[in-house]
Amino acid sequence: MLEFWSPKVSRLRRRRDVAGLIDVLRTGGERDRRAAANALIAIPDPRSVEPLTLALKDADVLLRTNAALALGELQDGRPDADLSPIVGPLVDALSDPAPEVRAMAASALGRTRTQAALEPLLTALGDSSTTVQLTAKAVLAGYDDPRAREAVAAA
Amino acid sequence: MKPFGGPGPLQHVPLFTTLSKHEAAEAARVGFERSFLAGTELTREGEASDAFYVMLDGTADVRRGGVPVNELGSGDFFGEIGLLGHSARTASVVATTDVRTFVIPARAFRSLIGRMPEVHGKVLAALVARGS
Repeated sequence: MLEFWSPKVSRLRRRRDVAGLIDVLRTGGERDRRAAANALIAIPDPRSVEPLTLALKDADVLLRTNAALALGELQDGRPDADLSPIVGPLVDALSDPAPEVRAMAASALGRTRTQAALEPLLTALGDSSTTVQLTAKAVLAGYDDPRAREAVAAA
Repeated sequence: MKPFGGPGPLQHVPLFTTLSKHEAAEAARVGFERSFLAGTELTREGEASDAFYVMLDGTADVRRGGVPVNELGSGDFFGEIGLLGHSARTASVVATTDVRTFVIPARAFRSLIGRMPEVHGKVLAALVARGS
């Protein structure tokens, strides 16, 4: 957990200072940036889409993992919103070299439940990582779609 | 409902036993204890998943369509499937004795997994073992 130790981010999180968290995510040190992405899971805000999308391409696996989870929170309460700025980068993250990032991207995509995420999630059922396969199976179970039901039953 | 001051009983729950004392305390910090009387419905099939539950004491039935399909006891957990994705609860859980649980709200659970990805792996492994 020391990987996320950041008194600065803890203060911003307590104040729910999204702008401050985004600033840290863009410009902070390694641990601060991880902690900021993690804090944005708990405090979803549309302003964080672009910096979280950039964080998905960072070299730090823990940052990418938390950025994927945080993006998954941004669909809540936005049933008619255009989710393509979120779904596209998360679909790309399903090809991340780190299985933990792919698993969290699958989980986050499952939360969007968009049709655009369906095909990539079906593909993720055949991922080389068991964790990714199982995550895809769990999230596809939430899809009201015959292909998803069939794939989950067969997996 | 009451929060834990430290790792509390979580350090004896299999899901959390590989965590350090500090990590278990962190997990305990994001949730709270909640008790239910025998006969109470802890969760209802078809409703949106809003939390992850760990059984601390007591027993409960898992029911699908009103039919018991499994029994839960101390150390067992439920509610994880909906939290991984965004699906409705796949079963009801009904207390068969007085029950004490540790509850982690959905978003706090996902934040915890971000800091401790190994918890995600353990939850999935338990799902497989359970045949969910």
